[in-house]
Amino acid sequence: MTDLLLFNGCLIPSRLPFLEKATRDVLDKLEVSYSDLPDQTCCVEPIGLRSLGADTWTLASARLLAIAEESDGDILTVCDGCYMSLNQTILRLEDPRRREAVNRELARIGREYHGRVRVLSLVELLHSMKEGIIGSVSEPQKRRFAIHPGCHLERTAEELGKEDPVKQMADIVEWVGGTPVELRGNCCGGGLSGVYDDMSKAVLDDSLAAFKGSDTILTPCPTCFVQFDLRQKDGIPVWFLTEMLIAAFGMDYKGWRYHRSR
Amino acid sequence: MLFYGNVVPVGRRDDALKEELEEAVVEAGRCLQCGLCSESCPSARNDGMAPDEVMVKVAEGDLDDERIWQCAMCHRCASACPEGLDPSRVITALRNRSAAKGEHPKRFEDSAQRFLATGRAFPCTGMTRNMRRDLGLPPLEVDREAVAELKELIRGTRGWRKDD
Repeated sequence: MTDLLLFNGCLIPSRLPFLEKATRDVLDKLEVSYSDLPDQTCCVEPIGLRSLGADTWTLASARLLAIAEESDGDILTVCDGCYMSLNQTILRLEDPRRREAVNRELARIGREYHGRVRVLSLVELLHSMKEGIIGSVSEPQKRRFAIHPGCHLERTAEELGKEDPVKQMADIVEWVGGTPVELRGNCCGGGLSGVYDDMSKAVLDDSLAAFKGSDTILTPCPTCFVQFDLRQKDGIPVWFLTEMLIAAFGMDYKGWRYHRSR
Repeated sequence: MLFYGNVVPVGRRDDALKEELEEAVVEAGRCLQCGLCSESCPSARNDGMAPDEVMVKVAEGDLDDERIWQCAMCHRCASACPEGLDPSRVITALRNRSAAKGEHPKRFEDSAQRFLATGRAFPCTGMTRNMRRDLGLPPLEVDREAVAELKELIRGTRGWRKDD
C-alpha cells in the first residue's frame, strides 16, 4: 500500500494546534500508518494568494505534489483549502503543455511532477474506515450534528466526481450514534473576513440560520471552524470532524478548553 | 525563464496574465445570463457582487470592477452554472490583473508577504507556542531550506514579493 503523507497546512498547526492533536490521536487510535509530508510549506491557500498570483499558487502546490511522489505516498489533507489547492493543481497539470512548463520550473530546484500522486480529504479517509470507527465507539454521541463540509471540499469533490462529502460525513455521524442534519451550500464567509467584514458576517449569519435546531456544527475545515467558533453569537458548539471521534472514542483531549463556542 | 498561469505557458509574465484574461473574456462570452450563479451566491444575497453582472461586463471587454473583491471564493457559482462555466475563475483572473497594479486588499498582501518570508500564510505566535507545548506537540519550526527552495521556485511569479 502506498504511504500516507500527512499535510497539516498552515492554519491548523499555527492557530488551531488542538485540531492537529485531535487528528493525530484519532489516526493513531484507528491504526492508520502515516508520516508527515517532508519539507512542507503552505499549499498556497486558495483565496488570497491565488487572487494575487494564480501562477504562484500552481507552482507552490506542484512542488508539494512532487515531494509526495518522491516519498512514494499519497497526501492526506486536513483542510479544505489544501484539498482544493492540491487537487486543482493535479487537474490543471493533466494538460501536457502546462505540466511541461511546470516541470521546467521544478527542474530548477531538482524536482519533477509525474501525475501519480493522489490527494485525500480527512472525510474520505475516515469514510473508508467504517468497521474501525464503529468498533472504537465507547461513548455514542447522541447529538444532532449540522453537517458542514465547507465550500472548497464540496466543490472539489464535485469537480473530481467523488462521492458527496455531505453523505460521507452523515454516515460517519451515524456510526458514532449521532443524528446528521444534512446541509449543503452554506458558506462560512471566511473568504471575506478581513476584507469586507460586514459582508463576511452576513454570509456567516445565513449559514447559522440553517444550523438552528442542531446541537453541534460539524466541519472538517479549519477556516470554517475559526469562523463559526470565534464569530457566531448563538453559542452552538463547533466540532472538527476528528474531535467528534475523540469524543465518541472516549479519549482524553485537552483541546476542548481552546474552543470559544461550547 | 518561462512563466505560465492558469491557462497556458507563455514567454513572459505580462503575456501570461494577458492570456488568462483573454480566456476569461471567452468564458464570460459563453454566459447565457440565466442568473443561477447569482441566486446561489452568498455575496449577492448580502448586497455584494453578483457573478452574472461580472460575466456580462467581462464579455463586453470591461475588466474594471472593484466588486471582484466582494467575492467569497466559495465557488457556488461554478456548481450552479448549467453551462459548466466558472465565474469564480473569471473573477480570479480579474483579481490577478487588479493585484498586478497593486489594487488588492491589504489582508491578502500581508498574507503573501508572510508566505514568502516563512513559507506559511498564517503566523506562528506566542499563543501557537504555548498551545503546542500544552498539547505535547513539537515546536512549529520553519524549515529554512524548504523556504529557500520555495523562494527559488516562485521568484518572479505574480505572487512574488521582494524580500531583500
